[in-house]
Amino acid sequence: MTRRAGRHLGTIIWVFAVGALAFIWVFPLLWAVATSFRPPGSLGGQIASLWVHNPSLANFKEAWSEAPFVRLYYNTAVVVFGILGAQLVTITLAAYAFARMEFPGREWLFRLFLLQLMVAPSSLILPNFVTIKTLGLLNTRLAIMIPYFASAFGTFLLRQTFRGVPRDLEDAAAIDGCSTFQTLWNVFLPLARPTLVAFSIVSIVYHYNEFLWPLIVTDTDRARTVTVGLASFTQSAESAAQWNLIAAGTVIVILPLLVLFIVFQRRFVESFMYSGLKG
Amino acid sequence: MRRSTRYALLLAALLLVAVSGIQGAGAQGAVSLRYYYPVGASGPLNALMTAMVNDFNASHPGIHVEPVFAGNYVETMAKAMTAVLGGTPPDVAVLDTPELYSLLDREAIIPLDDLIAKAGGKAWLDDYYGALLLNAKSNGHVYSIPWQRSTPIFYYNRDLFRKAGLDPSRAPKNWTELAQYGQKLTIRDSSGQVTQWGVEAPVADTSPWVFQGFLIEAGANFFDPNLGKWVKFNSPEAVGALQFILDLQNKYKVHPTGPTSLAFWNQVPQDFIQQKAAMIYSTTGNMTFIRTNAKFDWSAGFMPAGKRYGAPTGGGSFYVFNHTPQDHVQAAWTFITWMTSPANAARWSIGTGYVPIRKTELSTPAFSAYLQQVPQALTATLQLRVAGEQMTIHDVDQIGTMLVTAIQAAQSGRLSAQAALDRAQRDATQLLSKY
Amino acid sequence: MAQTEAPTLPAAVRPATRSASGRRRRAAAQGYLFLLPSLAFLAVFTYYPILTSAELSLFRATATVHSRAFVGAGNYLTIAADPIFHQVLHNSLEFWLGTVPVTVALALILALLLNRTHLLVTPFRTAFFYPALLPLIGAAAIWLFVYTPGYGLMDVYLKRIIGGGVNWLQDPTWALPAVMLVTVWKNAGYYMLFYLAGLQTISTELYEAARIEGASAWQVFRSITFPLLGPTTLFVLVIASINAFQSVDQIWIMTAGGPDNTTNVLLYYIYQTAFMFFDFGKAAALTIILLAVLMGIAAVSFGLLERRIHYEV
Repeated sequence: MTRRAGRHLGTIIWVFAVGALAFIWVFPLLWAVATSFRPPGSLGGQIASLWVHNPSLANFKEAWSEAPFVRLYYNTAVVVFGILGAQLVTITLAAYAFARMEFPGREWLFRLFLLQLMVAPSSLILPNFVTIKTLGLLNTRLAIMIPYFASAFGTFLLRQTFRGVPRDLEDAAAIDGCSTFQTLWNVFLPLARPTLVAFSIVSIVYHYNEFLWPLIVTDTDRARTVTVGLASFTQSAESAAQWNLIAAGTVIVILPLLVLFIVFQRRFVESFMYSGLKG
Repeated sequence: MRRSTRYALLLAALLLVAVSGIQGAGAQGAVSLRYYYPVGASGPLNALMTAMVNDFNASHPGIHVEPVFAGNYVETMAKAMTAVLGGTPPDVAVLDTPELYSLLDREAIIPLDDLIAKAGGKAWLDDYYGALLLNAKSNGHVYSIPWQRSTPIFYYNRDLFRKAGLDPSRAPKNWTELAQYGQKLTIRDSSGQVTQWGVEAPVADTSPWVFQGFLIEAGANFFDPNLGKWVKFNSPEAVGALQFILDLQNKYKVHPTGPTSLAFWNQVPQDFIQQKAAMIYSTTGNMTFIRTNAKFDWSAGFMPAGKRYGAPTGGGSFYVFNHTPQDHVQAAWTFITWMTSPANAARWSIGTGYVPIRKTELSTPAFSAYLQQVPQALTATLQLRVAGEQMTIHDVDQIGTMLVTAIQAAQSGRLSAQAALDRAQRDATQLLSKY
Repeated sequence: MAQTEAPTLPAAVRPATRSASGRRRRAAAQGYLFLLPSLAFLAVFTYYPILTSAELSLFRATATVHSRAFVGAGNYLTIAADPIFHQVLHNSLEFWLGTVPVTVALALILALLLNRTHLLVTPFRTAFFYPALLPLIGAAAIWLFVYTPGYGLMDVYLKRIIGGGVNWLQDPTWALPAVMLVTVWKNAGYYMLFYLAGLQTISTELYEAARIEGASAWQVFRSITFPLLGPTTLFVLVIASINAFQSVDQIWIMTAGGPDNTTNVLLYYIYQTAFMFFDFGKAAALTIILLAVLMGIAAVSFGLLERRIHYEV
C-alpha cells in the first residue's frame, strides 16, 4: 500500500474507532436533548428512543420562565470570570515561586498549598459563612468568589509546566536583561499557554456548576447563579422527576459552557502551532 | 507593557462589578423579614411561591417579606442551621416538619402558643387538620403551622384491573387483598422475567416514610409522641409490618426483590405511567404528574389497611425563629396566618398538589371547582382522618437512616426482619440515651 | 542546574547587594512575596476552617456551639469503633482503586488519539469532555434513567449483550460499580484535557528526530512521549486520587449512600454527619481523617514519582 493510502486508511480507522467510543459517551446527552423536545405528557411509550414524534419547545418555554435566567447568566459570568481573573494572577506568581525560586521551606509550603485540595468542602461552609458575614459580604457575588481566589489546583498544574521550561530560554532572557516579571511574561507564560487554557476551562466549569456554597451564602437573585435557578424547578423529593423539564433546564444551563469549551479548546491547536519551541 | 495594563484594568473592572453587588438593605421603615423555603417538587412551585409572597407584600405595606429559595428539604435545613449557628437566623422558614427536635435542641425556634391564643386559641387551631398538627406539638406546646403537606396514597391502574378480571372500581382494602390482587396483576413472560409487577412500594428511600404507613397500619407504637425520646422498632407489630413487605417480595412475588432505595422512589411513578406496575404507593404530590402522563384509566385510594387504615403525614410547616426582634415575630405571624388562610391555602394546594391543610379550605369556590375536575384530589384529605404522626423525635434524620438501613438489610436478605429491626432499635436507643 | 553566580548584567539591573547571602535573602524575600497573595486567601478561607475543624473534632458538639463538651479523642474513638465507618472506608478505597487507574489510562489514550488536527477532533473532544460540564441535577437525572430497570437506556440497548435483570442502583453488589462507571464517564474527558495540554508542550523536533531514525510508534511513546508526560501524569494521578475521595455528587442524587450503606464513601459520610445528623464534632473528626488519608496518598505519589520525572529538557 502506498504511504498516502496507508495514512488514509489509518485516518478512517481512527475516525470509526474514536467515533464509536465518542458515540457511547455522547449517547446519554443525545437522549437528554431528545427528551427535552418531547412534549409534556408524553413520557409514556417509547421513552428510551432517540426519536421524538412531535417535537415541541414547550419544555424550554417552561424552563426558561421558571427562573430569571438572564440575570442568573449575568451573575454567573461575573462570578466565573472574576474568579478566573484573580486565580490567573495568584497561581502564576505562586507557581513560578515554587518552580524557579529558592527559599527556605519551599517544599513544605507547597504541601501546605495542597491542603486546599484535600479538605472536605462541607467543613469549610460554616467557618467561611461566618467570615463572609463578618466582612459584610453576605448575599453578594463577591462572597461566592472570594474563597477561591487562591487555587492550589492551578498552582500545582502550572508549577508542573513551569518546571518543564528549558533553562536555556530563561538564561537567554536573563542575558537580555529581563527582570523576573519580564521573564515570566515573555518566556514562561507563552510556553504555558496550553496549560493556562486547560486551567481556565476547568476553573470556569467548576465554578459555573457549583451549587451548595452559592446556595448557602446568597439569598436572592441579585447574587445567585444559574445552578441555583435550575434547582428551583427540578426537585424530585416530593414529586416524580419530570424528565422532559429537567432535560430542557439542563440544556439551557450547559449550552453556554459547551460553546465556551468548543471555542477555548480550539486554542490548543493554535497554541501548539505558535508555541515555537526552539531547541 | 500595554497588554498587561489592559489585563490589569480588566481584572479591576471585573472586581469592581463584583463588589458593586454590595448594596445596603432596601426597606424603609417596613419590617423586613427573611423567609427560607424549600422546593420539593418539579415544576412552577417556586414561581407560585414568589407570586404569593409578592401579593402579601403588596397588601401589607408595613411588612416586606424577602422570599429565599433554599434548595430541597435537606439543603434548606442546612442553610437555616448555618444561618442560626452563624448568628443571622432567618425570621421564618418552611422546614421538614419532623425536624422539630433538631430545631428545639438548638434553641432555634419559638413556641407559637401565645400567638395562637390571640388568634382565637383552640377554636382557631381546630380548623387545621388534626393529623397535620400531631407533630407540631411537643410537651403541650405548638411549634409549627402546616403548609405544604402530603401523605402517601395508593394509585391503581384500572385498565390493568379489567385485563386481570378484577373489578376496576374496587381497590384492595387490606393487606390480604393486596397480596391476592398482586398475584393476579403480576405478569411474567416466557423466560420468567416479570413484565408487569403487581405492586411497588418505595418503603425506604432516604427516609422510612412509606414504611411508617405500614407501621401505623400494623398498630405499632414506634416512637414517643410527646417528647420524642424513645423509639420501638422491634415490637411484634413492627416486625410483622416488615415481614409483610418481605413476603410481598419473596413469598407472593408481586413486588420487585431487593432493597428499595432512592432510585426506586424516582422509578415507581415512572413505572406506573409506563404500565410496568399496576398498583403503587406514592406521594399525593405525584397526582398531577400521573394525571398528565398516564394514558390509561386510573384512580387513587387509601393505603390498604393492616389492622387499621393509616398513613404518615409528610412535608413542611412554618417555623418562627428565635433571637429575632419582637416586631419581626409579629410580622412573621401575620405572614403565616395570611398564607395559611383558606383562600391562599387553596391557591397553593391547587397549584402544587399538596394536601389541603384546613377544613374551611375545601369549601372555598376555587377548591370546590378544582374538586369537580380532579375528584381524586380528595383522597389524601379523606385519608387524613386515619393518618398517623410522622416519626418526630430527637436526631430524627440519623435514626431514620438507621431504620432505612435496617429495612434495606432485610430486603437484601442480609438480615432477618427481626434481626434487622433489633439492630436498629439497639443503635437508636443508644443514640437517644443522652436526651 | 542552578548557576552559582550571576551573569554579568548591565549596571542598571545589577542587584543592589553583592554578597551571596544578601542575594539569597533577597531571592527568598521575593519568593515569599510571590506566594503572599495566595497564602493570604488560603489562610482565611482554608487554613482557618481546617484549624476550626481540628479544634471542633475534640468536642462533642451536637447542639449549639455554645454547649459543646470537650471529649478529647472521644470522637476519634467512636469513629474507630463505628462499623459504618469501616464500611465507608472500605467503599472509599474500592472506589479509588477502581476508578483512578482506569480513568487516567483512558484519559491518556484519548489524548494521544485526539492530539492532531482534523475536522472531527473538536466534536470528538467535546463528546468526551461534556460530562464534566453537566450540572449535577442534569447528570443525575440522565443516569437515573440510564439505570432504570426495564425501560432505562442500559436495559433497553444493552440487554442483548449483557443480559438483563440487574437492578443496578439497588443491588448491593452492583450499586458501587454503577456509580464508579458514571465517575469514569465523567472524568476521563476531564483528565484528557490535561494530557492534551501536556502533549502540546513537547517539542515537535523530538518527534522529527525520532521519525528520521525510524523509531516505531511504540518506541516513540515509550522513550519520548511518556517520560515527558511525567509531570502531567503526576498531576493527573494526584488530582484523580483526590477527586476519587472528594466527588460525591453522583452518590448524593443517585443512591444517597445506599442501599444498606454500600455506596457510602468518606466524603458522603461527612456530609451526612454534618448536614443530616448535625453531629458537628464527629463530622470535624471525619474531616481530619480524610485530610490525613489524602495527605498520605499525595506524599506517596510525590515520593514515588517526583524523583523519576524528567523535568528539564
